[in-house]
Amino acid sequence: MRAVTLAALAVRGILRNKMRTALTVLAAVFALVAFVLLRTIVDAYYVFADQASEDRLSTRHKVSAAVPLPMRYVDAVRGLPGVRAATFATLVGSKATNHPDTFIPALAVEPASFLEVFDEVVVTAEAKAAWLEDRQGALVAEALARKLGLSVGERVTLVGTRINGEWQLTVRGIYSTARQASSGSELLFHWAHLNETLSPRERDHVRWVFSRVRGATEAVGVGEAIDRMFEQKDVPTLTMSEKAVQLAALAGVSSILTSVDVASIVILAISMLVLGNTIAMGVRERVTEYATLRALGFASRHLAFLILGEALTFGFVAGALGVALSYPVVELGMGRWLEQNMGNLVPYFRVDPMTLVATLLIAILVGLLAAGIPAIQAIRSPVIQGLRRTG
Amino acid sequence: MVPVSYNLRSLAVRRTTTAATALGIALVVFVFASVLMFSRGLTRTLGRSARPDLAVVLRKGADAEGRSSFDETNIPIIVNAAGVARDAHGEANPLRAVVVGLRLPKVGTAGLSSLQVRGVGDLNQMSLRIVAGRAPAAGTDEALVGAAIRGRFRGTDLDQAIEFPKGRRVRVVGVFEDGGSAFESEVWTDLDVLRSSFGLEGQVSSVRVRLTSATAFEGYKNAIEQNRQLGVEVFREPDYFDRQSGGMNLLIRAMALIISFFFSVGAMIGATITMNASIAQRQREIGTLRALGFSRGAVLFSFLLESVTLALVGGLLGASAAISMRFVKFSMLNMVSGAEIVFAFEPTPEVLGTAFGAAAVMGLVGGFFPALRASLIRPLEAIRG
Repeated sequence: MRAVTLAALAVRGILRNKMRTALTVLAAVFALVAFVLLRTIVDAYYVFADQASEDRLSTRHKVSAAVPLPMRYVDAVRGLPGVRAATFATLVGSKATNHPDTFIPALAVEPASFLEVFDEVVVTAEAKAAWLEDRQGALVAEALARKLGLSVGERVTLVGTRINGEWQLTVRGIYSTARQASSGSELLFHWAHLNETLSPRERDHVRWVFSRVRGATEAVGVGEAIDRMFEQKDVPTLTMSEKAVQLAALAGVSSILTSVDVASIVILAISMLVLGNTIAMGVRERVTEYATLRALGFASRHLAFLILGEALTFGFVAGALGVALSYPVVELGMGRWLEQNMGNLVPYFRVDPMTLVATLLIAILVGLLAAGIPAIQAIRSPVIQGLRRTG
Repeated sequence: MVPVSYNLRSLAVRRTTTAATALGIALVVFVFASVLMFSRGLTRTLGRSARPDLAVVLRKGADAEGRSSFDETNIPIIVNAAGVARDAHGEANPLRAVVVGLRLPKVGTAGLSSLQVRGVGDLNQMSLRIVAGRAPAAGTDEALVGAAIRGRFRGTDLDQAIEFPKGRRVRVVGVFEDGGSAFESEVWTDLDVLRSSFGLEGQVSSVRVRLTSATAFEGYKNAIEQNRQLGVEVFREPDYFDRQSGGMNLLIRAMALIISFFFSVGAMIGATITMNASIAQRQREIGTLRALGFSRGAVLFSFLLESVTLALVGGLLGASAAISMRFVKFSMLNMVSGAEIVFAFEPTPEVLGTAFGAAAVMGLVGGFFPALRASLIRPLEAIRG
């Protein structure tokens, strides 16, 4: 009964100054939406590393991506024990002649083995057959096809950005990916078609060899075996699991991620200051009341309960509102804009439900922490002084 | 006008509340100033040393020097077009460069990162300032390292050696500066040493050509790009640097803007709450002020001043903290070239002034409604309590 009374008192306390309550909640909601936004940006970077596969290895030149690997390396890798399948690819990078402003990550691949190694690529059986058959056929990622307005059967002319040349292709299929990790923004076409157009010195070279090992545990050993095999050759290699590659890429932007982390802590600190200030004001105004309650026999812990209860309510209300607002604002508003305008930098921008749960908990925690000092002050101040005060 | 000391004392009396609000504003100003400083650093690094009369020739479609390569045999055609500046001997002196990414272990981390290495035909043609060591001798396995990445990768400090492909080791004999530009994040070495080590004999990534004037550019560009056999594209150096930052610059600015907006709204509301409470407690005082003959306008002004002062205290705190960001070096992977670039935060007087101004605006906006409320207090009712 008493606990209920105290809870009711706590809620009443909040409602006493409606204007201040509204402002405080508003400030906290703004801060929490910003917090969700910042966390989502960090998540957007980590999602690839999280979902990257550990049993797929990529092999490239040891020190420079500018130097391609000889074609014969592919068969050498295929012959190693522990390798289930291997394929290769060369990044052409391109722009379509009728879309000169959109970068198209065009990848020249060996179709059959590529689809075997990258089994998350989902494509209908007939599209697959059509693509395998047509040397000048292309398989386009769903998102990319949408962006360029491409459909099956259409012709497209690519101008290479990393490799000199022009290729006329026919779209034979649209693919999607089974995992969220892949950006799904590539255009795939036959490596054999690319190879014909290369100069003699560039011919029969590939940028990467990809191999699939029998299990994630074998990945490290197989990777080392591949590099050992080519160590003494003209072109030494560096083999990493897909996950390791993604983590290395993350290290490149680690300072951005760190600053976003710092900023998200700063925003919590700001909201804590605002909340703490509001609660402290309320406590200061009610010194006489609290003294009266204590004179009536309420214990210190009851006062603490009152003040912390108030803070808890603040935290919960602000947290709930913040979470409710941040989904539409962050994911539907900013997320869509970012994906459309900067898809190459932040390709996957979604609010993680865990972030929302964490935000609600953090809001409550921040409220409680902010109430700490005022609560201690209220408990410590002598009853008689509070009663004596006129105000 | 209500004496300023009245407001200052009011702030001093409510020490805790004042401090909490000012601290909130200080944090916002700190973040805001850091973002501005970073943006300045970014602009400086990616565009500072660019010269509008310098044309950069790349392979058609390549978006960065590190991704470009074309046959050296094309260079005579490139320099013989109209608009190219010539020296007293009638020579055009084009600067040939090969740019490659080199993966090296990064000092202090377990991982590898990409370092941009530039081989140039003639080092003397670039006006670099050597700040330690000496210039490399032409045609030898010697290199200069940019001040920004000195010691950040294995082998990149003075008197160390960088491992190139084919087992070549290139000695670092000097450290250079170039006004904070992106070149300071590179290693510079001899063109032929780099080409033979990477198997790029006979190729160049870019050619820089000095034109007679910046206005000669359009004509030169058209003349060169019309020749489809060449397969090259021509950029003004400043435009080329602009492209280098790609969407990164825009993304960082957009993010910064969004963050600053949310943060400042939070702090502004904090200021409103504080001023509101402070005014509610001072009903009687304000009533007395009005009864003494101070006009509504004077009261409004007085409280706005109080709020702005409160914000400026925070602004001062935040701006001073932001100055210390000068010592932070920010390294990042350039999304276009794939190599690492080091940026610095640049605390210029304008940046600090802007941040300080933003604090004043927060105080003004945050304090406006409370001050308006104060000015509308009726003296008689307030004094009666």
